[in-house]
Amino acid sequence: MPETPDEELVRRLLADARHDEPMPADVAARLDSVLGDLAADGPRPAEVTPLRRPDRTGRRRWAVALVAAAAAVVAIAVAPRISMSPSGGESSDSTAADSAGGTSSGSAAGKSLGAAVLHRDTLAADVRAARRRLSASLHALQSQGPTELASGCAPADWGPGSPAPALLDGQDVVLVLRPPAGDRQVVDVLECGTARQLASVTLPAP
Amino acid sequence: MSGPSRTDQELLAAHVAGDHDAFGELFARHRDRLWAVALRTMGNPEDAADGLQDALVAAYRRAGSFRGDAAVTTWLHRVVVNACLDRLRASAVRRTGTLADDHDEPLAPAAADAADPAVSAERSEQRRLVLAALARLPAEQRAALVLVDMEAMPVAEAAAVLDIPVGTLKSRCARGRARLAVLLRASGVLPVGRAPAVGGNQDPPPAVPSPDAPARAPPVAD
Repeated sequence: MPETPDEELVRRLLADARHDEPMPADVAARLDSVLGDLAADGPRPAEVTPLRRPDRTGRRRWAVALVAAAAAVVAIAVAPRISMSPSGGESSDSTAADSAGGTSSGSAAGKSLGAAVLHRDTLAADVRAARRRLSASLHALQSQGPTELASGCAPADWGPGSPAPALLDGQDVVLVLRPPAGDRQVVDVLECGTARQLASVTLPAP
Repeated sequence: MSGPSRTDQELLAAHVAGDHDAFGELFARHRDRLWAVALRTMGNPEDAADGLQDALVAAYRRAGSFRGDAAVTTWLHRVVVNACLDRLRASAVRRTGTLADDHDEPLAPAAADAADPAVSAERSEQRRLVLAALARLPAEQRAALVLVDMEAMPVAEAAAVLDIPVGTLKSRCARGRARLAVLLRASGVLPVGRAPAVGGNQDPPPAVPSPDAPARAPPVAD
């Protein structure tokens, strides 16, 4: 079917309105950061979620499954050091660190709830990986309140957000995922008992 | 490991095999065009960035499902368009006119216009009105026109991106252009009362912005 003159004109106008500028630097940086998060998640990209984002029911199922998976990890591996390197992968490192007698064995409190292991020299990457790993179970932990959060970690007012037990260079701390603000989320590392801020990392909002 | 000469398919395969750099290299290779598609489909930079981020995550995680029966770029475009359409569908309120209001990208003048500020300004205004009209179309029609008329993608490839038959794509494009013609005539970009002759590429249609008479017609169903 031949095009009408109007159609031809519209086509030309659309072609003229094509966007030819490169991706803005801030968007590129944001997506690079997301790629870094994905890489930190692990090396098995083909086995994760479906293309379409799950509906609420699906999300709930995933959360339940992830909480169960996190619990299973804690039950199976009471003491291993889960070392989250900046480049990602945590599974193979865990065994290696164990057999090498990893030094940050952590306290009972940290172990009992599967604390994320953080190191000051790789803090941003560690926090990023910990957020991914813990995000599903944090919602369940949050409702337990600070006392039950980590029995060896004295309670305090952690402020808004989702707290989780962690070890910072072997010291019991609390990791708090603050509510996302826009496209950013602040993650604070707080001292047990005082809620004094020991470190803070700003990440792209999940 | 990350040789610059690797094809898209090789990069995707390397990513699936665990090469942490491969996907980033693949995405960097195509990100400007993917950005353009997301921007024109979503209508504003903020939503485009969100849509592209959704797509990036989906493509990264679903790379293993790529069967190789289409070009990697086709697949990437499909993921981006789907992510954008998902976001548009999920939006509770149709943001009519959003693109024109939020359109804060620089409208670079065409090279031929650079010497004449008046012509440049006129064409920028014309583009703004075209994008505003485009934003009023149903999302599926808009996506079809973005791929075919803006990105100059072959019809068969655009149909593959949208996962629809070629005939459906052509129909979608024709309806979208017809609707755009009505909107652009109402906003003064197209002349009223006669069908202008098709004379090749020499003369752009007159741009007579009519800020007091914005297009108000509702989107038409696909």
